[in-house]
Amino acid sequence: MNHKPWVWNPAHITFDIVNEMSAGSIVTIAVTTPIGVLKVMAEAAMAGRTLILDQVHVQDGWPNAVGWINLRLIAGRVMEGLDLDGLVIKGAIRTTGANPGRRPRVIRFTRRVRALHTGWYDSPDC
Amino acid sequence: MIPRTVDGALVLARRGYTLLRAKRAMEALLETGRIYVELPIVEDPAVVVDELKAANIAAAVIAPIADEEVAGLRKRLGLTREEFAIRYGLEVESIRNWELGRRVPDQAARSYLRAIMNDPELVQRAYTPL
Repeated sequence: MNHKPWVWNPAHITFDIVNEMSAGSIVTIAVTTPIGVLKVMAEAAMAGRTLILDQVHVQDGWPNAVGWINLRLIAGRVMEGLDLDGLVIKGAIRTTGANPGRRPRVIRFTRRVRALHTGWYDSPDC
Repeated sequence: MIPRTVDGALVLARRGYTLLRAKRAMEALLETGRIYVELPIVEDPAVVVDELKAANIAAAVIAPIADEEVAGLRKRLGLTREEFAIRYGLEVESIRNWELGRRVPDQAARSYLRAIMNDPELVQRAYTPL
């Protein structure tokens, strides 16, 4: 399968941390999307309230299966679910997919709504 | 077929690799196309091969060299331990220990012995200083 991705419904994106494959700095996330479950394995680190995922592997997709807009949606769901302010993705060198042999650029996502811990949007006046 | 690296890493992790080491192995596989791994725990090599195959990774088992194989190799070449050591740049004591089962050759030594078994003349020519 290799086609241009459509924009997904965010309500159809969920994720779970795969405990069996998460230990030490390694975290594996199963992201359920309209095209199936994508397994994402990365080396994770926190910088304040920003999660940095380094050397990211994505399994079970195909070239351009996700697309930029849907990746942003997934990132939004992860930041929301883990109550993060930001998410940084540093991919491993691509051997397949779009542009094999190239290291993808660092992608930074920022959560638009401030994190829950601030209580900023809990106020009924907001 | 695109290797399913996350599943491949899990296969290695279930056999005693740390997840980080397993992930690094998958990255090396993607970059070089071939890797050698020595798994600490293997209940059945065929199962490991099958599981890696399901992850779109072709795998083959390299059987460890038995003690008697070292002695058999040397005798097949008609060499004493000293001659074998000189010809291939090994220590006599190491050869003796391997043959008597006192020590197990490490990964590099096993690979070298395997190369000698496969083509003793070629390895000799490659090793001998000019």
